[in-house]
Amino acid sequence: MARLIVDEDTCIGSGECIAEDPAAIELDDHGCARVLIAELDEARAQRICDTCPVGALSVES
Amino acid sequence: MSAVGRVTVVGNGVAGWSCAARLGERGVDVTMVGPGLPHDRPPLSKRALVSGRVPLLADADRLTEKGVRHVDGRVVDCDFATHRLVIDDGSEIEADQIVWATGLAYPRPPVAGIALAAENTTGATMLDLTARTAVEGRDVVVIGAGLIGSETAATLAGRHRVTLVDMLDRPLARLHPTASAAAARTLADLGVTFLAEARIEEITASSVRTSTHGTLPCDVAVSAAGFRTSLPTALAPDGRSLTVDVDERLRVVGTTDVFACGDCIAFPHPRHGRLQIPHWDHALYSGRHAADSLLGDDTPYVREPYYFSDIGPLRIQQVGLATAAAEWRVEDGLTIGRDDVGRIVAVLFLNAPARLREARELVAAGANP
Ligand SMILES: Cc1cc2nc3c(=O)[nH]c(=O)nc-3n(C[C@H](O)[C@H](O)[C@H](O)COP(=O)(O)OP(=O)(O)OC[C@H]3O[C@@H](n4cnc5c(N)ncnc54)[C@H](O)[C@@H]3O)c2cc1C
Repeated sequence: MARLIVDEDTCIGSGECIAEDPAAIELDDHGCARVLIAELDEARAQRICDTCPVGALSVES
Repeated sequence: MSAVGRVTVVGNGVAGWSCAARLGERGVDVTMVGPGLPHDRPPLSKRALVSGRVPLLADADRLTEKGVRHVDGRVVDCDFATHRLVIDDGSEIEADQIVWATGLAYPRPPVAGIALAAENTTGATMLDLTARTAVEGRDVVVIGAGLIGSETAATLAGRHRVTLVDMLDRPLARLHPTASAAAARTLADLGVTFLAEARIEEITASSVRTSTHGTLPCDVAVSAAGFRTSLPTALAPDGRSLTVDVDERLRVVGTTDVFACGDCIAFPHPRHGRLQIPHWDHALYSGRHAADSLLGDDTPYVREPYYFSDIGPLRIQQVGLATAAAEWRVEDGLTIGRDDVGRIVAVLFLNAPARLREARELVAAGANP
């Protein structure tokens, strides 16, 4: 299992991660990504991470 | 394609940085000119305005890591025949290739006392605004209810009494009525007072005087109205054009070694003709594409317009070109625009971020029926 981490100072709210997996990640009221599921399957976390155009997401196993 | 020499990227926003970083990664000798460290803009009216931290694209270490030399300053003069650029400290740079990426400029409206207003279109001005709104419960007047002004009003509403004023009759008046109406509702729910068709006469240290809505108490006025060109006369001879024309590889028309990307270009879109897209997504992808073109890639730049906006809890997203739509219809929760022969040209969706992919597919299908 793995954790998806959001760097809030880097996230620009493009929404690409939510389009990939809306059950796992959402946007907060300031347009910043917020993880909904603490522990994710590693491949799933990586798939979400790979969609970020600014590198604001990282995977911690 | 001739070999890549010393490249100077003028502009340090997302387009300039993404171009410079990609060139640096490929070992190109690249210099990026722009005031301060490169930073992003969308968070300046959202999260960064709450956190007080500038959304940097790169700090000094990252510039070094990417192999990008940064000149902290502005280009004040340029000669595209000799490839010579003059920086505001008087120094000069000679380049073999130039990439122009200066975005848009955000001027203040010509109103008496406007110098007293804050703004948040750059990292430095946003820090000034966060300092001036550090104490809770201020009377804030945001001037201009476009995307930036509406976002800013929504963000500040959590801690302050916010009034949003515009010359037009509703917030986001230039967007589709669905988005505009949703923004008006959200702003009202957040406690923002919207004043329509307002005329400001003067801003003072404690008020904003209008000829339409009396005198508004105001500790902090925020200017969020309009934009103008950032281009030098060599690229915008009329001094007004917001954009410079580029070809499908993002080379400035009529030049051999000058490329451009981001908010300041009009590129030939395969479906809609020459297009300016003043949104973040296009700035990022066109910046990368300009780098690839410089490196010899012949692929044309093709990107559907896409923007996102957060008016507090209201998320607005749109794929495609709204102005190409002859009619709009709501279908299964998406607001879909079609051209005069019934092909989908734009999809607007509110609070439905999971549907971005579907929206892109619908617009792509409209382009390739
Ligand atoms: C507050 C704000 C919020 C936004 N929110 C969103 C959003 O939610 N969604 C969205 O899609 N878009 C948003 N945008 C628009 C988006 O940020 C822009 O489309 C994007 O930043 C354009 O990138 P760019 O690199 O072309 O230009 P810019 O980001 O404007 O960067 C241009 C840079 O060039 C520098 N420069 C200018 N002239 C010179 C010169 N002569 N010499 C050297 N440097 C120069 C400027 O200082 C600037 O840093 C927002 C914009 C602002 C201001």
